[in-house]
Amino acid sequence: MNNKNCRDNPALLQAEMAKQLNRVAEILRHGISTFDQNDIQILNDLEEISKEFADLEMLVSTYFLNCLLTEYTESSKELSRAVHKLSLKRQQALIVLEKSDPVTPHIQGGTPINAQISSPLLESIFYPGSKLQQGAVLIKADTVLSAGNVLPVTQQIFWDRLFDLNEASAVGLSERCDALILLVAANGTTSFCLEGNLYPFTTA
Amino acid sequence: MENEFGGFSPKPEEIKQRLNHIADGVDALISSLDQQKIGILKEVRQLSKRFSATSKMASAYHLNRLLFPYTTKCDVILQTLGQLSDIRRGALIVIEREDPVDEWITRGTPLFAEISGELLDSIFHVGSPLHDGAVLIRSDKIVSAANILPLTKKIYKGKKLGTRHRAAIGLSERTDALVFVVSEETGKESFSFNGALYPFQTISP
Repeated sequence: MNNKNCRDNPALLQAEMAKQLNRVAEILRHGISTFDQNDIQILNDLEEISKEFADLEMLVSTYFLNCLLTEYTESSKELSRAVHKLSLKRQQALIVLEKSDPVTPHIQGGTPINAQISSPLLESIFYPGSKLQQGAVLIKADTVLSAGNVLPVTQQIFWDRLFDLNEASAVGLSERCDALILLVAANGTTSFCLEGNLYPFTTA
Repeated sequence: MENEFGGFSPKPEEIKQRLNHIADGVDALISSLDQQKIGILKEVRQLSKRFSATSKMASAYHLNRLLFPYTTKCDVILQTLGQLSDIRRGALIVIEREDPVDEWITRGTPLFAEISGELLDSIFHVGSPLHDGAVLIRSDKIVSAANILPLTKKIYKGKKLGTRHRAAIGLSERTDALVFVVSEETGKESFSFNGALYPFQTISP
């Protein structure tokens, strides 16, 4: 898969998506046509389709995140680099990017920082055991405004996975304003949150 | 086709209908690909979620179909497998069907216990004296645990297959038993039947 090239090129993304979707459609049609034979072979087809779907989600969300980031900050490259490094080192992180709605009314308890965005700064904030590690970093345009912010937790319940405070906080805030929230989980997986939806993406 | 599986089992017509809906969804998505909006991401996500739910129904349907005449505890067993999978606990469970499996296995510890999620969980606890080996279920009893199964000699190209999976395939090559495996490494659930391994997913309670 040419994930890397798709990232900045809409035409390539579209072609890759079409390819994967057609593959899904093909396996689905095969599964449906043999369905009445009651063959357990269909379970293999279904497994293959779920893999394709997972790939597809990753591809599309990574593409859109890169487009989105440039709308929120001019330091999108530095930010991507930071998220990538945090993910490699499996450091949990929660980063809020403010857009037009003010975020401050929804959050509390942060420490003012007012620093320029840099990957080393973010890495040290989220370093395990650091005083600011718990809670979210708030970024507006090119500035890290504050760290250690507590976000509102969502009322939604996710049945398909274990409760995670960072996830619930990210969803909670994004239900209330147009901020974009980036998440790095303890196992190194990365996702972003927008309008109450959580999307996994890849930084590789 | 049998349809009275007792307990909870999805209807095949419903699964087929859902698969058809998803196929329509995929076609619609392909034709709307030229609009580069974030809405596409949401659609992909929704389609993927609907698919995953349907795929779980299909697993439940087939497993109920294969097991219903032989045990009434299918629900409990599947639910426990789901829980073991969540915490990535390795497990190996044999459900005996028509063929007696006794002559193929090296017998472990006899239990003749009632089937419960709690007991299965504690059997497969790493370090428990019974966790190494397979649990044997005959009708509604856990007959024994820590049984050793024959390994398959098949070579799978490009696929790493651990002892647990080899044991599951090995027994199902020799008998009509259905053997459940939860992988310790990935938490993935699969079952072996007639010498082939099938992935499946359980419906979370």
